[in-house]
Amino acid sequence: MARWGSAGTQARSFLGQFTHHLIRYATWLPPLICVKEYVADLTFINGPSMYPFLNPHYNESLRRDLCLTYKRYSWKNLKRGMIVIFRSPENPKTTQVKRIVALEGDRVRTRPPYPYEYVNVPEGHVWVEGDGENTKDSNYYGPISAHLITGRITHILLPWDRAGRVRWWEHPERPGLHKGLF
Amino acid sequence: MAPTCVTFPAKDVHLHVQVGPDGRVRKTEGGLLIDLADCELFGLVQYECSIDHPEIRDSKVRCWPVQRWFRRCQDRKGKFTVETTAWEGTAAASAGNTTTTTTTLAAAGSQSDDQKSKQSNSKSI
Amino acid sequence: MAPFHRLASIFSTLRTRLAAPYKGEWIGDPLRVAIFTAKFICFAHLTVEYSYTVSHGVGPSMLPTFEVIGDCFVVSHRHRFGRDVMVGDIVVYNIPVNNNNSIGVKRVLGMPGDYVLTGTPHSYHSESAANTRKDLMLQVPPGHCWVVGDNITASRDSRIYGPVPLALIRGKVVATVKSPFDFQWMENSFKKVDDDDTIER
Repeated sequence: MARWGSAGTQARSFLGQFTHHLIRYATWLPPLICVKEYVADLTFINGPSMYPFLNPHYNESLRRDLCLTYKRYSWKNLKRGMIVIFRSPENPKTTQVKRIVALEGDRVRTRPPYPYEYVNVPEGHVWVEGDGENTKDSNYYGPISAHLITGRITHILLPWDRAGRVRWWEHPERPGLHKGLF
Repeated sequence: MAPTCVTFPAKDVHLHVQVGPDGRVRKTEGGLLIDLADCELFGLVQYECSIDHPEIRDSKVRCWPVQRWFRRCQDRKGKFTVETTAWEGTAAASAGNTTTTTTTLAAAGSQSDDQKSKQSNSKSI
Repeated sequence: MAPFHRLASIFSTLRTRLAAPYKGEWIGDPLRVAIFTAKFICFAHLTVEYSYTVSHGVGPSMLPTFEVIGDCFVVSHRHRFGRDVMVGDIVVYNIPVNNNNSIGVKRVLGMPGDYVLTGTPHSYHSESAANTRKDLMLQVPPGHCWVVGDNITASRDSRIYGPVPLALIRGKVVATVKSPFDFQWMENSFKKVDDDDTIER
């Protein structure tokens, strides 16, 4: 038996061929899952929380942006301005997309409904906010642990007219942020 | 660290359990308030240990048990656990059923107003 | 497109050359062996990562349940993200306030909506037992849990960094392996007390 696919396929029944191909493709599933989990993944963005950067037409159409997410060492080397995907601290079953506003050691002037005016972002935590108006972000649940972050958005793939690299470093700094105050 | 949690003195826990996570008074079967003393009692033992000679690999370790008490109560939404280690044996715990109910009723009514005033002495965790 | 075709032809010649000595053998050429190995490693990794792993903890925080050094335990990853975790279970989680990938192993004392002491209760033999009455409590926020080490004198846990997001939980400790011949299922130490008279202060 020289090759799995070529030898003797003629002789096999339709069902035999079908299961044979099914198994052959199924063996590619584990590597695919590994890549999706640890290297890169495609993500559809839901909702208006990153408006107008992502989903600028969320109230006009059902079309969602498709983004490329980089997943290697997602909790490491975080920078202000990056758009990250993380598991919601309130419900571990859901994920959210927000922009990193402050890193550990920064002091942030919060927005309502946060009960205190200033917050010092503790070690291992980041302060995330959505670009849009009504978003449930760190002003609602406080700084989040960097380990909740599962990936960062590097490219917009769809729609075509906005496709390209996400230039997060060009995003202006949020007013009310004091870097590395303590 | 994550969200802002409101802390309260442990002796008042029988008042605070009347309000659910959504800030509303819990609904129970029969419409009664939750009586902590009637809930199922659970125990869990933790320890205070001291290693006699931490520099030696197989040093003798001595542990003293610390008993923690919990009550598992039920409302319409399901069961929840209340740690009563500091509450068991207090005046509220030993008080009769009727007196507890009247005090809790008053407290639960003013709970939502209390929430704002408590922000001042709450601590961010 | 010429360079691409050239590259492809070079590649295919190389493959036939490499495969030539193995012709007719079951194992096939090196490329197929490499792909097969990669697939198998991925499969094995996922199987382990989503079922059970054995790891060992270091540190005095879970004395006397786990020794300071050398105790291995079996972690069930079915319970990752706090799925079906109950009060009294021992969980393995990413420490939220650390910048490295360090792992904590602690006992869960409160799930979302439960009420817990924020501080440390005092044992009966210590004279500070009366201080317990002044302790503060909180309600565990949604999506979080309250974890405390069994050795409450030497443990960095929720008392220091607050409630831990359930999403950081990697699994639940289901068994301990103290030696290859000493395998024990973990028992939940959170037990119902039938007799109310056992409480004495």
